[in-house]
Amino acid sequence: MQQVDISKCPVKLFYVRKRKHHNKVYLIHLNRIFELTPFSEAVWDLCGGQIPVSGMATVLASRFQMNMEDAMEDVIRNIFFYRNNQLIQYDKYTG
Amino acid sequence: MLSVSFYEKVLAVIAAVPAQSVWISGSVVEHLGNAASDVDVFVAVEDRAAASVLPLTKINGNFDILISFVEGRRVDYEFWSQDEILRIAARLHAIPLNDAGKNILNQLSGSDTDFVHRLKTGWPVMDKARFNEIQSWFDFNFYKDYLVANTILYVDDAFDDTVGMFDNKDIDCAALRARFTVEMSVDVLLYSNGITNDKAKYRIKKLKTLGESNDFAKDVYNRFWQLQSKIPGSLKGKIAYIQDALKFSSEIIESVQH
Repeated sequence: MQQVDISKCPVKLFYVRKRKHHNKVYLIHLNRIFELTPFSEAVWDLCGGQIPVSGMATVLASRFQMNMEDAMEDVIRNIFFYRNNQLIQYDKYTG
Repeated sequence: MLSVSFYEKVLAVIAAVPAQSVWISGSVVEHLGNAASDVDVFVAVEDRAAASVLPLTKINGNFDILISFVEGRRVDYEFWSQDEILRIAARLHAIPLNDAGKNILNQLSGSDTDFVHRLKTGWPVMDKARFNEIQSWFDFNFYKDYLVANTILYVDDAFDDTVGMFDNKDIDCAALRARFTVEMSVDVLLYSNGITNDKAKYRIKKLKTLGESNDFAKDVYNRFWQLQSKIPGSLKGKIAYIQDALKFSSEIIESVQH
């Protein structure tokens, strides 16, 4: 599993815009375009600097009717991807 | 509020024209204007030559204009032929909104959008049945969707301009472009709520009115006013302003697309 501190609260970077286009959802930063799944969109929407990664997993496990372990793994995968592509940063710490 | 006698005098000016229908529109009807605002009168005619009996008619693109004064107030008459109205309807409904691969940018001209909006919000003063029939040629919900989609393209262009300028440390330009991004985003919010008047001069008034019945719009109004009225002078302040403006734009567009 990728290295992500699940106590941190990710926050979207201001230069990234989310757009819906013909039933598909994308994150766009200038010429870089990433298509989102419903789950990855839900993770993105929770990146408001208020909810730690661990909390996201709890919320999304319930919303997507997944077990906690799978939800955590998917959340971490998405956060790792967003961070690696400089779409989010960590602004706040819960601990 | 304009009086009945005023409207009678408005119609008397064009009595010699065989009009199919006449409607009042513009800022007066939409309660956006003031006592000094022009009154816009739309006259549907079978053929534009029908208006040639009037003086001071000048050709302006796809419609003719007569400027007159009634009770000391300026009245602008626009004469539109049935064929031209049908052509606008055809252009509107041919816009490939549901085709992901097709360009929709500016498929309607400024005079087209003016006409459609003013038909949508018009107040018939002659032959209401014909007016309703002309309205029925247009899908105003589709028109609203077009305005939203078209203006999001402006938002995206301005957003990306801002990011590029910011990355290039061209902060003054980025700050002004960020402000424009927010302005376009507010227009998207207005359009999505059925407010299809595209006059920038009334943007803040339209937003304030929308905010009276919509909590999100009320919040947008307050933040929009702050962003419009003050761009900080310091470099640090400008950078924060740009970030706030783009985040604000994203919030508005995402709320509309949600």
